[in-house]
Amino acid sequence: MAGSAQGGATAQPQIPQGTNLANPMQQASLAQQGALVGTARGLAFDPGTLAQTNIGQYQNPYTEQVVRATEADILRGAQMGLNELGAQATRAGAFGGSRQGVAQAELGRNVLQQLAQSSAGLRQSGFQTAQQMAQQDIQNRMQAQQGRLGAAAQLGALGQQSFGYGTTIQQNLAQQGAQQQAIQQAIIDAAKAQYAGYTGAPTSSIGYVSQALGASAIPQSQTQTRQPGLFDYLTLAATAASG
Amino acid sequence: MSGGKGGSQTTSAEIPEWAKEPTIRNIARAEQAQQIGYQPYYGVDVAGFNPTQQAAMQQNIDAARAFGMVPTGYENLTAMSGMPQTVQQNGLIGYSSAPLYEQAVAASRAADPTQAAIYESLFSQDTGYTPKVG
Repeated sequence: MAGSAQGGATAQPQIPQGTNLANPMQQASLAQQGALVGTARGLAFDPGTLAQTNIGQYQNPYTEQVVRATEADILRGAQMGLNELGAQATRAGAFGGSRQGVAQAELGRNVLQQLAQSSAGLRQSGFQTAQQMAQQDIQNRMQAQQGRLGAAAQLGALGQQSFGYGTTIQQNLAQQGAQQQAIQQAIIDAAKAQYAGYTGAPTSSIGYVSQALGASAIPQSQTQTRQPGLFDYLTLAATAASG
Repeated sequence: MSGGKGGSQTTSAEIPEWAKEPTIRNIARAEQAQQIGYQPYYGVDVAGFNPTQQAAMQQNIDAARAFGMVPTGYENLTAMSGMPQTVQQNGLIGYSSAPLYEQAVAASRAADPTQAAIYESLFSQDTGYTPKVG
């Protein structure tokens, strides 16, 4: 049926129970879903055509009564005309004569023509009005659909905006938390360094004495002793013999 | 020192008396110190995620959930899912490697008790330390 999508186009995805609408990411998701569904329905929307439209539903339900009333008026006028023709013929002493018959036939033809014209005119006018109303309905549906498509686009844009808010807030929180964590890590590192100092103190204290001794000018007395060998004695003997 | 057929010559250096005692004491102290052994750190090693970070992480997961991007089987995903248990010290929340260290030492002892005994015999001997009483 023409315009069959008009009812569905207004339906939007249901908001799940427990959804926190203050949460920008929830907003973004819902808006995006709504925009997608709205746009998809827009693509399938059929505003309908006049040819497909049942014009009868736009017809004035009282047209037939108006036509009947108009016909009754014409017939009443015709009757009055006939009466007058009869009266004129009577006064002329020609009642029932051929002239009266011709005049009545003429009147009847005129009445029939008037009845036909009046009825056709009323029905034509009623149909045109109904057609205009049907056309207006098609335009209204198209306009409404344009509005819904515009709303879907706006919903998409708003969703994107919400997503931006959510992302920024999330990043800010993460950054703030990282700063706090850095301070906590610094405290831990300082404590670990202190503990390393504590456990290393015995070794360090040994080093103090070694360093002090190393830095002190320690006079060393060197004693050299020499024991002569066989060769020394032989050299001495040779020297004595030559002398 | 040299010797042999050509004889020999000896050179000796004397440490002054005032340096002898401190050196001896220092060596004795070093021998005491080496009995101490390894002293593990049992405090917090790594700062944990603070509430602000956890909120940010949870937002991330919630955003994924809002867009239907949490895979099946992970419906109960939270910011701290899969993270180890934290410890708290003086208001600091973080992670300590001590339990893992102790576990590793225990595993090492169980795997090779002999080696562990040799290792432990190197330490905790009589250091000559006399606690002061009173």
